[in-house]
Amino acid sequence: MKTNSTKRGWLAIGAISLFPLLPWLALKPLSVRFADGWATAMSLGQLTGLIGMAMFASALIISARAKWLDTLFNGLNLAYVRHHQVGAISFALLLLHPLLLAIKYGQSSWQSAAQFLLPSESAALNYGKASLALMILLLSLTFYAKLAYQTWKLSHKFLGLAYFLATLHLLFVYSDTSQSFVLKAYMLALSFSALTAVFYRTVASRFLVRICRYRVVAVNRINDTVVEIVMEHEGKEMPYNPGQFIFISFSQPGLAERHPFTISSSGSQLSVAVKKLGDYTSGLVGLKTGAIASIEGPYGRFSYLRSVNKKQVWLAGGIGITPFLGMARSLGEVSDYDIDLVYCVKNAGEAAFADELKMIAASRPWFRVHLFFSDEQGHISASGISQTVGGLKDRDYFLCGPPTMMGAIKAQLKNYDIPNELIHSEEFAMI
Amino acid sequence: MIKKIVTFSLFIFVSGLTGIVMAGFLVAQQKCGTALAPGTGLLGESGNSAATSTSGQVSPGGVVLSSAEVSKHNSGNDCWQIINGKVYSLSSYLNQHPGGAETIIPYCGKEATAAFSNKGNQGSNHSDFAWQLLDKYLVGSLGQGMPSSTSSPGSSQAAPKAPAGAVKPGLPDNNPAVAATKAGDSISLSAAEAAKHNTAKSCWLVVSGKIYDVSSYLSKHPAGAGAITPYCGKEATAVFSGTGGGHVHSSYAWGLLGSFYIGAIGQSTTASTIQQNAAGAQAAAQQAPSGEDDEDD
Repeated sequence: MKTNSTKRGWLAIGAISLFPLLPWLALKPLSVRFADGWATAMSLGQLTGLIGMAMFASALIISARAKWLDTLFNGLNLAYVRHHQVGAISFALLLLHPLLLAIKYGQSSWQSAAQFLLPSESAALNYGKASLALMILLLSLTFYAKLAYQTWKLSHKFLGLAYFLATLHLLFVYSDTSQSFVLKAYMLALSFSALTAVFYRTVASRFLVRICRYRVVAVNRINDTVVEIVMEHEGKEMPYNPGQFIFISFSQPGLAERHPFTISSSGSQLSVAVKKLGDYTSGLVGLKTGAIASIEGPYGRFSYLRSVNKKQVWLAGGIGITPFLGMARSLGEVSDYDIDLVYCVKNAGEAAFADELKMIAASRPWFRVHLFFSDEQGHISASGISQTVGGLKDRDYFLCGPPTMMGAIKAQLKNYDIPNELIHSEEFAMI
Repeated sequence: MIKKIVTFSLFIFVSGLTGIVMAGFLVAQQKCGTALAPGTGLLGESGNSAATSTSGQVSPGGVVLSSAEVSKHNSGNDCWQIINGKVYSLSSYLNQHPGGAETIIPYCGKEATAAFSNKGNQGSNHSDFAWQLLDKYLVGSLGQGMPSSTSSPGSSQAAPKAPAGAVKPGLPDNNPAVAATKAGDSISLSAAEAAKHNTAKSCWLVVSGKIYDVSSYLSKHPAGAGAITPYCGKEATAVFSGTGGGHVHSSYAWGLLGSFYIGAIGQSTTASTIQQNAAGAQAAAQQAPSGEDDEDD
């Protein structure tokens, strides 16, 4: 079940991140830890450091893009959402870590607190400071700078270095960690796993991750902004389910960057539908047939087959139609499913693949396609869906589209008492 | 949401960092104006106590700082250590140690050079700042003569009035930086002496036969200064341990009390040893500088 899987991911992160609390609590009584304001500041400083490091490690491990993460988080794209969230929280905690400890130094004097925060002669402290400085730089780029995907990705990899420096800090600085064998062993094991994950992703992946070779056989212009790239396997065929996604790079100048795309096909041919959004996707329009595609994957668990009810609503926003296109193409002639596809676009001109979808629906009374034009009808809402499909109860909902639309619809469905486990969404904000 | 958390944390971080560094800078500026001994006077709120910032003590004969002498000061309440051939009294600092008091206590009364240099086998030296901070707690060099007191330099911010005790002419110290002329005057610690310190400005408590100067702590007392002041200058064992109807204090509170220790009843100490650690006690009491040594009552 979706919700259980989501919880499973959070539970794993929570267990990893909060485990250091146990040996920390066992080390000294709480009456000493929180004896007064100064002691409390120091204790919170230690905790933000420990838990921040553990969460940082979790974020790095999640970013390893391994198959088991796909299972644990119910789709690698969701794993990346967690990576984003956990990473940000760990950053927030690690920012507080030196400040809280500095307050403890303020007990002696504010001057010593200031000296504690500034670069010092202590290598162990400086590792920590360098690590935090690097994090501030790199995460400012992530959160506030609009970098090109590949530039951002390269910059983001250096967080592995920040973590390495943080590990040195953890290893050499005098702290509870250095006093408790359990704490030290655990934190070092975690650091080792995280750094292994970084190594796997940045260095070893080119040798270890299986890449399938496909050849581009057609680049079909669907409308002004959407093309569909059709590929056939050169070597071994990659098995996949409609709705999953892959990472592709092409052997053509300017297109060698590896990007994630949802599979829009079903069967032995592999295709992805691409909308011109940035430089890279615009460049794909110029893709030539015969180019070789290097494909990593497939990932993701977004599939109408994983559901509670066979009565379903598929809600697509714009290019979010791609996973549904793959699923629709895979539908048999006869089925006990009952599916309403609500396809939201600005206007008829933007409704890529609408004709093909209508054709699929024509011979299948249990599969219906509803076009929703926001230029005429405004934003789609849960009540709008209800009117279109005739009620909201006892259905599973599959959502793929712009994050704002999905957020709004999820919230509205909850207001209609649709339980979480019936709502499945494909997030694409951050991969 | 996530971005807001990050932005908020960055804001807190930048303001906190700026605030603390500015505060540190301002404190440093202030100290520069008043410190008598450059190099050591910069270390925090203790700088206003001249005696603490010099390593010299008038040594009116009596005790020589030897390993044997140091080994008598081997508890958390009374902690001397030898580091690089010098003797330091760390009693009042214990509770402020970022690594915890319990990591220092094992070295009380002992040679601790190696432990200090590698942080108890942590493999890393203390910072220059820590080495400087250490100077604040200097008692003297090994082999140096000391006042006849064998009591621990406890802590006090108030310089007690010159008592009736005889001033013993001391051997001249080889360190010329001598700040307080009466530093070597001997004070015998008695109930009568304690009774003189019966105000909030100079408040001594007698607990279990030991005298503590808690003046600098009063304002920090969780239950308010008013709960302590009635006992200033008096026997307070019962009320402190809770048997006299007072609050039962935690072991932490007992530890904290230790940092205000002056000496046991019947011992004698000197103005200088008391002054010497006034700063430490002040810091232990987390007190804003309250200024002058008082001479009242």
